Amino acid sequence: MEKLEQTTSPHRKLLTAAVSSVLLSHGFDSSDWDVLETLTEMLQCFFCEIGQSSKNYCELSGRTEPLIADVILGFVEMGINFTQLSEFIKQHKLQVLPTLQPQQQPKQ
Amino acid sequence: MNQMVKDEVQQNGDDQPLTVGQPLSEFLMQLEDYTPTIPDAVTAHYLNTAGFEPKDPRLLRLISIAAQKFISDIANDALQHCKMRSSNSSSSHNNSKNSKGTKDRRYCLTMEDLTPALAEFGITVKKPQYFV
Repeated sequence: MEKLEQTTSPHRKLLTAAVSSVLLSHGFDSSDWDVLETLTEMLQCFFCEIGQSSKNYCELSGRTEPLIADVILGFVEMGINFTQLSEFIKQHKLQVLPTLQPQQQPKQ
Repeated sequence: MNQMVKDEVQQNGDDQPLTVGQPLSEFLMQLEDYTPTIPDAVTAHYLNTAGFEPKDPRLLRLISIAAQKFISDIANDALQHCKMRSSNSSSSHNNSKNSKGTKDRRYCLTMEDLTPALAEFGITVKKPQYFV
């Protein structure tokens, strides 16, 4: 486990923390490690997928600067109903992760 | 730019072509006030790996919130599976101590609950049992 934590990137750790926070807010008290990893991987894939499809829509229109319309077309392609997003942020109180503190390297 | 967004939405939402555009522009204004759980820097990093570099911070917020809703819906579904499974198993085991036990039950998310929840979203997960 320690070896695994050393090899994972800080971005991925934060994604895992975000997934854990969502799970806690839904009423789970604990979770298996492989479930957490699966959800983190899915979240990471979600970002890559929406990034790629938005970029492709943007370049298809002959632009280099992505617009909100490109992202929305990406959502449509991924089958996400973006009209439910405003209800989602009204219903759920979004929790904010604590800001990261710079870590002191232990002296050898 | 807003007019353009409206046009895109009107093309997509055939059901209510006149009303869909208006809430979206309001929603985009609200996005500035809501801070998603996933930090903006993390979202930006993963989008950059895909070659997508938005200048508008609202785009990051929109994508973060959509991602959070994605995970949130799955978690909600998995929780229902977990509750259903634990209530079934506890009622079959013992009936006398059940009334107190269900109130302060602790829920643990396992692959057993996550797999059917993801299957409802059309995602098939097959994990080798020996790999943890």
